[in-house]
Amino acid sequence: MEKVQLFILRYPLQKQWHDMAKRILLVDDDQDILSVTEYRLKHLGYEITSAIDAEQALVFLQKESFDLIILDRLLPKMQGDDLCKMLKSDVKYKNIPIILFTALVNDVEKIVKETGADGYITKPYEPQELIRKVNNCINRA
Amino acid sequence: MKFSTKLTLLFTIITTTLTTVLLSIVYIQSSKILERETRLLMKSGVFNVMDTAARFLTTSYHDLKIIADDPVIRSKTATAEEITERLLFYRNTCKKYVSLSFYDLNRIRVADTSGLSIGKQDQMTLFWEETLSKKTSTARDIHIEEPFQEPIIYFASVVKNNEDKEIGVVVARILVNRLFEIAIKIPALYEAKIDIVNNNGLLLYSNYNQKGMLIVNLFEQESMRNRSQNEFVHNILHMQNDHENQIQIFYVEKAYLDFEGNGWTAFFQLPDKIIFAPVHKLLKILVTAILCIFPVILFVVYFFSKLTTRPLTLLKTAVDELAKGNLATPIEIHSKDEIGYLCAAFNKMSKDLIVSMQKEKDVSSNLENLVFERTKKLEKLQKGTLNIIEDLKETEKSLKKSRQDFINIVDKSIEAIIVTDKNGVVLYLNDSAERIFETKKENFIGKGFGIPIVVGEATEIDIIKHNDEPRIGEMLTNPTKWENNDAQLIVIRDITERKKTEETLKKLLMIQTTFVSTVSHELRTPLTSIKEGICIVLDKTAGTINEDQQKYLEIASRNVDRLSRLINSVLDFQSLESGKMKFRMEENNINEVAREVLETMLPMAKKKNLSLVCQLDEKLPRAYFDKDKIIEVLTNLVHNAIKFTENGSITIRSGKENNFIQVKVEDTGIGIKKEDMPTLFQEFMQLQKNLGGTGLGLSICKKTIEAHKGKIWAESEFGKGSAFYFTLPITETVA
Repeated sequence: MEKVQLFILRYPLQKQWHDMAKRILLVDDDQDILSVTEYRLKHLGYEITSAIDAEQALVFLQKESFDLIILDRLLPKMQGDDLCKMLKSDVKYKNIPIILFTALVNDVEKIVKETGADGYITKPYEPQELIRKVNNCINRA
Repeated sequence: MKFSTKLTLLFTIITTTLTTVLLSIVYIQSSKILERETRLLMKSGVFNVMDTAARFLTTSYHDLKIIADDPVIRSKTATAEEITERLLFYRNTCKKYVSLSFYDLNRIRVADTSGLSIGKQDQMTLFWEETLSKKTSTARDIHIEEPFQEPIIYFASVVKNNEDKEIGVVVARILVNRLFEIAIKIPALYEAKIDIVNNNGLLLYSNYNQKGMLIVNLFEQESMRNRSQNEFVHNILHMQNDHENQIQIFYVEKAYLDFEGNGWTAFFQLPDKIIFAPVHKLLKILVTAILCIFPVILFVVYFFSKLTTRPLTLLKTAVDELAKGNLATPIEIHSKDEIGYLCAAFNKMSKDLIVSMQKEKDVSSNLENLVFERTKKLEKLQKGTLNIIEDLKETEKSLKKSRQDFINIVDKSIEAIIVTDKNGVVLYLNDSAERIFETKKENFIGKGFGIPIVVGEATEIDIIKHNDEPRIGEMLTNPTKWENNDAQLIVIRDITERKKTEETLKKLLMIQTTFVSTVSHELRTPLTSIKEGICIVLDKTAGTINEDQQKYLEIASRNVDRLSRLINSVLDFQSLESGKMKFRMEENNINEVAREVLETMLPMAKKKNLSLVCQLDEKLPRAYFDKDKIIEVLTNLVHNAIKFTENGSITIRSGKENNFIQVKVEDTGIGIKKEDMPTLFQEFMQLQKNLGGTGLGLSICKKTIEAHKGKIWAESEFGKGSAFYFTLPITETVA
């Protein structure tokens, strides 16, 4: 795994963002998933940024700020779980809620605890479930 | 000797000693005092006597001088009668004179008051010589005159006439007795013996000794004279005549004025008997008194001592009784002194003794009983033992036989069996061990085992063979006994095959896990896209759709869901089967589950015009289960019930059975055939193939429920409906 240098750009007034649309970062290696999920979320009024792997996600994170990260677990190179752990232990990013987006539902509760994620959505999901969970997580922040 | 007697004796001795000592002291002191007094008295008495005598004599001496100076007698011309008359006159005046006489110078008695011997010449005696030679008044002397036969004292004085010429001698005579009787008037010395002795030792006067006046020479005067005349000498002389002790005092008459004195000595004797008579009397009185009182006191003392020592006698009696073994004799003495205390202590002691003796008796009788019983038991045992010995002999025989059988078994066992002693020296090995270690039994026995032994734990060992591939053995060691000594039993199993299988299995499992997660992911991800894609359009999010579009999209959506469910079933089954399924066991309310399922399945039931109701026991305690999984189970059961019921109702019931929650799903459907019941919960068994489903449903339910440590079963009668039951434990410990 390559070490990624993180540049942090702090915006002086974070409160400004409350009035603006919430930003969600989607991380998944499947284009179709990105497409349909993006579409769904856009129609809910969120601003979506998509990344296909952890590396790209980190690049986006450095550039912009997000109100929620939806993170697929099975990613090429760095795994979603590891990225989640990393972000949560980083003081700059730990306040961003992370939802794990996963097909592996067997110990999902345990995984959520272990990684420090704020929630999970199963594949496949009921649309209402997605909406509900995203709203909850994003508003918590 | 008895104690009272001792006391009495003690008293007697003390009293006697005391009395004797006191009396002696009294006697001696009194005697001394008395002696002293008596001596003083005698001293003064003797002095008085002699003094009185001396004065008397002096007076007489002077009287005679006066007579000699009488003018008539002095005149030359006086006739004898005139002189006699004159003399008589004087004699009558002084009655003490026996007679008076006048002598001329030739010693011829001219006149005499008694009228005797007139004209006769007196003999020349010493006093005549003295008188005539000195021509003055002289001393007198004592001699016995014939007519009187008594000692007489003579006084003579020379008569001188006017011209101072001697003309005659006047002589006066006094009776000695008379003299001394006057002198001796000492009342206290009544009993004294008085002797008056002249300087020749002749007795002049004695108040007791009548024989031999002027004859008897009483004392040795020499010894007397050696002492000073001025001293009183008192010594106790032993009277030759009387052999008795006495005090004697003598006093020599002194000169008095111009009277020379005769040198007479007065001896006073007082026998001790008389002196000490009072003391003796006193002594006698005292002794008599004591002797009289003594018996009385003795009696009293004896009586009193007896009284005091009575408790001791009682004590003695009681002790004797105790010694004989008679214990019940309490002593009735309650005085507050030491003896009383002793008696009380004795009483207590004897009581205690009684008690302890009783105890002893009890104990000993108990012991006897015990001994008797035990002896009986022992006898029984003995008999039993003899029987046992017989049996043992039998057993030994059969043991020997069975031992041989066992040795055969062990020898032929597939597993290698080795027995070593506690130090690892091989004692026995079987045939398999021979094969494994590739050595003959004889070569191994007595040698060290060689491989480190861990008792109680299974260890894996590599067995290197000469001509073969290396084998892996599992070695188990347990402590045992070999011929009564501590030994170790080593069993070696060839686990090479097993190990291979394990390896294969592990690989398979790994493959499977990866497979499952991969499959899971790979199947579900496209499914998500499909579903969401359809939903986006169906939701009219992407725009409006017409009826036909809707219809067919709905078909697609339904089937996507079905496919999803199928995949879930397969994956669930897979994880249940492999044991990898993780349950979230929590305390949950089964009624909530039932209601949720009801809500979910109600539409489906409505479509078939079936009633779906709950009949739930509201007082059910919470149970321990994974809520989501049990929802699945219940959903599956209700789903099956709806599927297999054409009309009627489906009822979900909940209740409590012992320590479990019981849920019953009852339907009025077609029921289940008897022959299908055994395989009902088996995977891939479908009763009606056409009604869809994977055939895994009930199998998954069973596995789920069983993983919860519950039970699942069905009761049914073909054509009359079915009832499916499952139970869940209430308490955590069961799960």
